[in-house]
Amino acid sequence: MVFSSLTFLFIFLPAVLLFYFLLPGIKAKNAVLCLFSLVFYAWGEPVYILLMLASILLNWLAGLGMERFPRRRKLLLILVLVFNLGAIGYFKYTGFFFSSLNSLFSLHLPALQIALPIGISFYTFQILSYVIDVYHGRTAAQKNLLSLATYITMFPQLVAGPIVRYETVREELTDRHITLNDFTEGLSRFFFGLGKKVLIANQMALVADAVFDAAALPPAGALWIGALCYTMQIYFDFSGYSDMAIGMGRMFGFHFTENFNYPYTADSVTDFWRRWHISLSSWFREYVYIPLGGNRCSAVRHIFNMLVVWLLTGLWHGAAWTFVLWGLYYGILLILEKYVLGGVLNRVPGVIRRIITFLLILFGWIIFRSESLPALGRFLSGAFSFNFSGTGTFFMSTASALSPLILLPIALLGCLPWTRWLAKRFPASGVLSSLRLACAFFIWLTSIAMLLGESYNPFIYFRF
Amino acid sequence: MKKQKTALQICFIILFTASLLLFWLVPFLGQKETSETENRSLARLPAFSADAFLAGTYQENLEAAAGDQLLFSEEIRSFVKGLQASVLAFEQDLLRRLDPSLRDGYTQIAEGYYAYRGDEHRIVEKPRDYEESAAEVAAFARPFNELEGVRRYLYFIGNSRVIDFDHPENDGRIYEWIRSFFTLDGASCFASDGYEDYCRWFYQTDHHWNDQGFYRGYQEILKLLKPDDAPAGPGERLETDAVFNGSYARVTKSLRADEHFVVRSFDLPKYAVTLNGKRGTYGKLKSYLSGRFSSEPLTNHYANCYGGDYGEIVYDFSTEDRGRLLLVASSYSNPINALIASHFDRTYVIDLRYYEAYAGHVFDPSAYVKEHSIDTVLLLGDIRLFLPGTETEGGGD
Repeated sequence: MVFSSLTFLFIFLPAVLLFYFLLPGIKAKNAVLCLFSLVFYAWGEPVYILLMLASILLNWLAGLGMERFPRRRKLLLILVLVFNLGAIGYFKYTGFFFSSLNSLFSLHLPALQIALPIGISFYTFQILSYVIDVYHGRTAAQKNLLSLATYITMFPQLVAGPIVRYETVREELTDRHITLNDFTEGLSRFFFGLGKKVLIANQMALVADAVFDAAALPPAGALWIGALCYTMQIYFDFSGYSDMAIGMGRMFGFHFTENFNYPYTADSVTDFWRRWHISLSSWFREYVYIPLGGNRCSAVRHIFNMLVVWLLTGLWHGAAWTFVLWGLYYGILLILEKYVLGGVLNRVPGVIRRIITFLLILFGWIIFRSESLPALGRFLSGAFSFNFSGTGTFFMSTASALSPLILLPIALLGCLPWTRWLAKRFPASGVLSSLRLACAFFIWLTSIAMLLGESYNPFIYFRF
Repeated sequence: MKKQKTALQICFIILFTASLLLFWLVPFLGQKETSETENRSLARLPAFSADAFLAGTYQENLEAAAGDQLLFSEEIRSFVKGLQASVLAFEQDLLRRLDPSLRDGYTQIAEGYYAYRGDEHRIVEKPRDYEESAAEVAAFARPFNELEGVRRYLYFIGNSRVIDFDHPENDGRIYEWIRSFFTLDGASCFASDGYEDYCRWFYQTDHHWNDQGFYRGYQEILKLLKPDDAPAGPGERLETDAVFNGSYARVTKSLRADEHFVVRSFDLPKYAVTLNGKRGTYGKLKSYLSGRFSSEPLTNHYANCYGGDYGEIVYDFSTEDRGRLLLVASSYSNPINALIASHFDRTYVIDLRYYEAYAGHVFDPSAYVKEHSIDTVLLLGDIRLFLPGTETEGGGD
């Protein structure tokens, strides 16, 4: 089930809210959340829910075991790491591994088509954060299976993040209060997120898909417009989902950490990754980069650590060479910024730095969106031919790509922090908060209208 | 200040709750059956079953039903489509001003729907790569080829789904390809000689043939089936004051047509009609002739006037020795069913899209032919009759 489906908006969400607020006590509320979350997951994955339940049980037992048998905790950690990483490795990377072996060594190994359980990358990382923290003694093991299951399965962030670390919600799992302010702020945040997804990301997707999936290579103008639209699509899609997750979390009394901070206003690639998918970056920093030695080591080792982290970041996003290349692309850019260009960039005016950074990000998304390395090569050869003739004909003959283009300026504007500026300029303004709620409700109604009128409605990050 | 904020927040929650009634009132108000604007059956709320849930069909059907049954969904959808069409028209106009060369050939006005050479009033489709679907046509043809003791005919309608107006030299290719799958006693194609000729025979914004087109079609079919019979008609033509915006207009939400709907009526001997097993009257020709019809801009005049789609329609002219015809057709046959039937004792018109829902089983030509002592079989339709899987959004036949 996706948040932007009518089933979710008109049936699932009202039902879970009704039961959640009717039942008293935190345990009952957790049970409601857990039960509905399982239904939410089973809606799209009736079979793989067993895998998730097994994972929860095993990691819960491992956490308890680590506390009870401190001498065996390393062994227990290794066991659960093998299970968790084995599951993600099997479901996500086996097919890629075999097909790569076939291509590299001209073998004829069977091409395995294993269905990827929805959200496995997200919930596995959440579970890992829990067991690793228990292992290091940074948090106590959760005694109550229901509480742990509620944390892992919580539907707002179950299938597409943000990756909520156990530490963030540990206290709220057993003690939380929901105020009217929390609920309305959460609901309006949910509406804004829904609008980002339905009104902008879905429309930008129509242009991007028409360009990237065209049978014949479109002219350069169309390719660059398509790349720009994909840049908008992925931001509004993913940040919209995060907004909905954070908003719903707040409606249920949880306070998740922010996942985006106007990433396209970054003035360097380093800054971009402090603003984009913050929960993933911080997870990799905490559980991979720092254990590898971080930056408190030799330059060579530091470069190695960064390349490993970015290779893994690329692979986390998908099992394909384009994702590997995308990860390494960022690894190399960050190394260049750190060791080569840092001083030079500081002397460049801020606006220029931001434009350069945006173009580098846009280029990264071209790698990310391409179906394969040959497709990437084809796209880039067309885009850098700078042959713009035929661009008008392309859009004229592709109504699905032309019609949504009118929203591109709005999308570009939406990437800028003008709402934050307004809030700073008019602090505690009653008019502004009334306007905000009115806007949120208008976006809710408009999103429903668009959902009824449109059929294109996938979430990009579901496939990770 | 705090009180004001609280009141505002409560209002916000109440408005949200009220908006949910768009769905939750449906069970109390009753579910809708069909959409007049989109000319299709609407999805209904499914009954839960574990098997359907595990297969994922329950989830799909529930989502489809939520979209179809939500209060005002038709109006909302219509508004959104209309808005999108206006935005698109604005953008295309802008592009044309920037680049005059864009005025030639096909111009997409919505996904799968085009204007040709700047024709502001007409909407057409474009041919696709149908030849990839040879297996589907072969499967369709097999039971008809296996029929014994009957004469088999094919009448193929070449509409914009198979004509590339930029390359009219290829027009007959799809017809020849479809024909190659069948063992026939005779076949013919409703062809057009380029875009201007095509415009003579088909409605501006509807995929069906107009009154000139269907009368020509009837004559050609009669030559094929009974070359010695004299055709009925040409009948009386009455131009109504209703501007006909047809199926393409409904799907694209663009009221481009400027043509008036023409009613064509014929004097035929008395006959009886059975619609899905019940005696009835097919179409509302008399109402149209007396000026009684809806004047709503997107009214489906073609179906309303000449008759809608049924799984089975039986025409009985109470004669003997003129034979029995099985007419397997899409809605192209609707205005000429009676005309063709007037040359036979009994005519059985089958629409494969609706037959199973009516009869409770898949249509079996062999059993049907035996049961009704049929001696002539005619397949009549455009490409979609043979490839039902090629439908574009909302565009029925």
